[in-house]
Amino acid sequence: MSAAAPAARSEARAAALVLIVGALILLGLVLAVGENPLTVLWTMVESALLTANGLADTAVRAIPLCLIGLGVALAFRAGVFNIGADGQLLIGTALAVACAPLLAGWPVPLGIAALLVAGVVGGAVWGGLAGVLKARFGANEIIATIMLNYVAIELLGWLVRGPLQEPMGIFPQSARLEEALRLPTLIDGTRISAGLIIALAAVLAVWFIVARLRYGYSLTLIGQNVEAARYGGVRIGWITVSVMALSGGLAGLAGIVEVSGLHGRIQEGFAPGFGITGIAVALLARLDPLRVPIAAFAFAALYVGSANVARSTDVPFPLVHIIEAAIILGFLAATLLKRKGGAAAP
Amino acid sequence: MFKRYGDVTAVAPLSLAVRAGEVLALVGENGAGKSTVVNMVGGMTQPTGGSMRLDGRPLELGSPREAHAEGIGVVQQHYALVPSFTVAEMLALGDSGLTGLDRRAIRARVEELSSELGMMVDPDAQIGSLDVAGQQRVEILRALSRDIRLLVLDEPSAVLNPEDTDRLFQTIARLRERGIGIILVTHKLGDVFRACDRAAVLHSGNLVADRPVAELDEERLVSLIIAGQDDAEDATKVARAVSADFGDRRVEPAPRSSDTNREPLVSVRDLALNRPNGSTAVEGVSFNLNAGEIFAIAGVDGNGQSELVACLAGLALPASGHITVSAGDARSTLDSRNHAHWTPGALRMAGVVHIPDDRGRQGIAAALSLVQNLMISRRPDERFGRGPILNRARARAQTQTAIVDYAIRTEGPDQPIGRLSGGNQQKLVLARELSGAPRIVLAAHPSRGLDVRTIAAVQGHLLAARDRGAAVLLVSADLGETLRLADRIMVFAAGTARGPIAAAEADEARLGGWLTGRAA
Amino acid sequence: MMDLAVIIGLFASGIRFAIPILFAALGELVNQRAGVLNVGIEGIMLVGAFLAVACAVATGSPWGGLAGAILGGAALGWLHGVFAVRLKVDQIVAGIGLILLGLGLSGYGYRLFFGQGAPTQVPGSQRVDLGPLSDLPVLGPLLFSHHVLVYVAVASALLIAFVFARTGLGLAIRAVGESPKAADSAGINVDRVRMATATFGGAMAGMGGAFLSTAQLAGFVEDMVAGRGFIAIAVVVFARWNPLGALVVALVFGIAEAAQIRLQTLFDDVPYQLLTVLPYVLALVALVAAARSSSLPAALAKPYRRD
Repeated sequence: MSAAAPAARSEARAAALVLIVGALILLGLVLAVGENPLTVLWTMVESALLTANGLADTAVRAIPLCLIGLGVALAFRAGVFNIGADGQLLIGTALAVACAPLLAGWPVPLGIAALLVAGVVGGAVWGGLAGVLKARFGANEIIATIMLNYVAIELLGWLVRGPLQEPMGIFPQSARLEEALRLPTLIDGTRISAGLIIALAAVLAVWFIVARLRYGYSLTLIGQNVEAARYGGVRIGWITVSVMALSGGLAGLAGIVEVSGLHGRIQEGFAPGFGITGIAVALLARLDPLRVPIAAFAFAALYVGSANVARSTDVPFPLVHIIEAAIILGFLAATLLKRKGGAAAP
Repeated sequence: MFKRYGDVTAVAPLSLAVRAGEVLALVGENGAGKSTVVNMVGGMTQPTGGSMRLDGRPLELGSPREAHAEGIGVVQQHYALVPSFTVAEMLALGDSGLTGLDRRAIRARVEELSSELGMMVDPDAQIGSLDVAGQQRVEILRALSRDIRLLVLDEPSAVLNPEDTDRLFQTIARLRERGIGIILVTHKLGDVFRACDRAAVLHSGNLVADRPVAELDEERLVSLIIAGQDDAEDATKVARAVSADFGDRRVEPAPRSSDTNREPLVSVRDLALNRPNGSTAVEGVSFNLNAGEIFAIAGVDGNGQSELVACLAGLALPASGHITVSAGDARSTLDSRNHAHWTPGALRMAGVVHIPDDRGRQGIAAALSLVQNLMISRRPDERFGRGPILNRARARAQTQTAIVDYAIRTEGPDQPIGRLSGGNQQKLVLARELSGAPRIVLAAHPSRGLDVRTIAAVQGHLLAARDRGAAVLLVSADLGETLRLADRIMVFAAGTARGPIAAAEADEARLGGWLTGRAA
Repeated sequence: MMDLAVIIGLFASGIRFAIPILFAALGELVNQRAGVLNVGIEGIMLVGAFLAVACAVATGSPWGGLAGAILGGAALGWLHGVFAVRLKVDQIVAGIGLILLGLGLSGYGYRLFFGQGAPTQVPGSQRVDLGPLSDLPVLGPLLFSHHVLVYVAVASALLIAFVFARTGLGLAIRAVGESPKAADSAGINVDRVRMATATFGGAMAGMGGAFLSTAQLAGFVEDMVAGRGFIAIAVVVFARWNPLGALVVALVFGIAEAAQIRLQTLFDDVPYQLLTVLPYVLALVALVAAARSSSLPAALAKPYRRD
């Protein structure tokens, strides 16, 4: 105890140093392009939050990030590092789009519901596959999900040039979804679709799983102490597979909501970097489902703002990834600041 | 040659001296302060006050490394070895700088040292493939890899069988001839009289005696250890206290109910258990565990007890043999041969509860609250909600009850359990496992490391569980506790299981013989 | 159809494809043997690839580029060490941060230096000329006319194997990863060893990136590492943390990549995407085949604190 306290204090000091250095580096990067950091910051905030269009764009971007973030948070809670949301999103969306012709002529709410379910199933299969590899063979899920990402990207590339290609056969993209399978616009004059409601409903559902269900408790227990979970009678393998399927299902839902609510068709690169941003969302939300929409909105604003900054100034767009990294690393350092005094349990 | 004064709360100020070529026994009960003394001498912790001298030179030891460099070698109870290394590599670690290794020289050194000391050590053997005695020899070699003046051995004979113990004492004798001072920490009285010149007795942090072994007899030593005194006028009182502790059972034996010839709840048949490193811990274990009895496994740790509990809890599978657990209703019996169904969850649903010996690793999740820790174990009554939805109100209410019933000192049910003291954590584990009416209780060292008051409470709860008709398997290294609580006793020692015998027929001499692995 | 020249070409280009993975895998292997798991080497390789191009253009020499990549990689590896070893926070989350940081820094830097325009001419990378050896009929093109970094990578694997088996440094690294407590009791500064291996791992990943952008291809493209950083981790697992094993496994991956490119031209009626996935599927197979290995360093991803 007496030895632990100074160690924790020095860790906290180092963490504070990391935070300051990180902020200075960000500042330096902006200065390096010859821009005023304050102007850049203002442009970012103004264009993403203070104009009606910007706010709407941010909300549109927040919908998929929220859904993906929820799935990542669920998996991370159980200590399962799903960083393959991108692939799960693509497979889920592709499956749903492939099913779309079968749903032609279905009554309106049923057709859309079936489309969304197809998206969830596709994502769940792709995520669950990584879960099986981990639970059955002990394969590291980080590498497995990333490899499955690349496989999914190539698969989609083939699909939009082959079986799923639009009838004209010119562009590498699918046919438009018929109107009955499109999510309605929620607010006239914007591109915000009913996907917003789906995302918020998912927040409540995931919160319910985490806070009220035995299953959610098992996730938390595994994440905190897997040996205690095994000792208490939790089936670790089953939870690993199922939480990967849930996580992938939410990513698949994010993808089909994006297509049905926004683009109307699937094409390559329609959800660039969503998966990895979803991880940043989940971490910023401290894996708490109720905080995920807030974190998703913040990162959506960052994306919209950065895109505008890249258009109107010389600051390149990839700054957004650096800020994301700074948020994740800063978040890690900040937990140490809170831990100072050495009172925390080992 | 060697003096020290400690001033730590765990150990009151004391002075000790070891002369060159002398073997000093350091004895005392668990928690008497032996390990604190060892840690201070070995540089693992620093004394709050006082001083140490070696060969007249004052010593300031900041780390074990410094202690070793100054000429103090320590062989800890828990070895610090790298399983994948060979013996030669282990000895070269840290000593040979960062450059190339002269393997031939290291090997020659190992062979020279081990033949000098009469130890058989193969320099090319892999550490992980050695048995406990072999690993201990490596640790001794490691301590001797420098020119040391003082060697500290912490409970060296605790894990050894009689043959290996004999070899160890031969080695100690040779080291003594070479003029090395030795501190032998032990709880085996036999060691003191066999190998030591002087005995220092610690009692609750105080040095109560430091005298030549020739002036002591077994009786006096026991009263010093247990009562901290051996004055003539108090001798009878002490003797009575001792016999009360070890002999007279203060606990009523289990009431023999009429249904003793019912099926046993647990039946263990010809079990062999392997340690994690693959060596055989114990074999030929067979016994029945009946309702309404406490069945104790006695013996020094590391002889297969924790492996047995892990198997019974569904956390591991036996190397051979099998276990059956009756699942309450006559319909189903769990059998360890059916691997798919021999899981912690299935066994818990059959009414097995488990008080783990490694609380921090298995029993609790430190960052979670008391309420969440109370919910860790699955129970057949599904008390926290029968369906998928948790009954959080009930969990909270039961935590409140547990805090009151088990006198858990905490800020409240939402405090992270990691902030509680070990004893209070253990009480929550007990409350979790023993509440309701468990049918089978696996209790592994339930009172280890706890204070006297808590120990009494723990033992009371185990007896209450037995009286309610539970079958209790007690694993304890504390013979006093075993004799006080158990109805039947089995001993794991030197790779075999002896007994069981009824506790009424068990006397210390017989158990002692079994424990040292000597008597049949 | 498959004559000797085709096979030689296949293996020669397989060796080239293997080198970036081999560099990264060797660095990660040493790092993991000391108990540090860095899942962010993909990000470090990206930065290495970018810096190699930027510094080569700035200094006019490929060696300047290589030096920049090594320094940048070492800096990022050290940064991961700060989080994983010094601050003792979650190594995996810190690694994920590093992936994003590498993606951002390389993309940002690239657009900063080169704008949106076409890649500038990168100072050329030379193949070694070993005189008569390079002119040997089969072995010449196969073994003796590669970029000098190819030989550096192979030598690194041999050197690391030697260090592990025959030096005090190797013992220290292995002890720190297997049983930090034992290492500590032998007087080894656990955190210092791990900081060193974390930095070394970063430098090696930086070199892998440099090879990718200056020797294998000629220029930087955003996200050009394309998962090789993760494949390198799979290589470490499949090679059971053995440097010579990593050499062989990396070669298998390189040949698989070379083969799938050749197969694309051979079977142009098969959708090329189904062949492109070959290395990734191979990595999945490797993970499954090698999982639950007993060679896994016991203290991997576990920060060490004295009790």
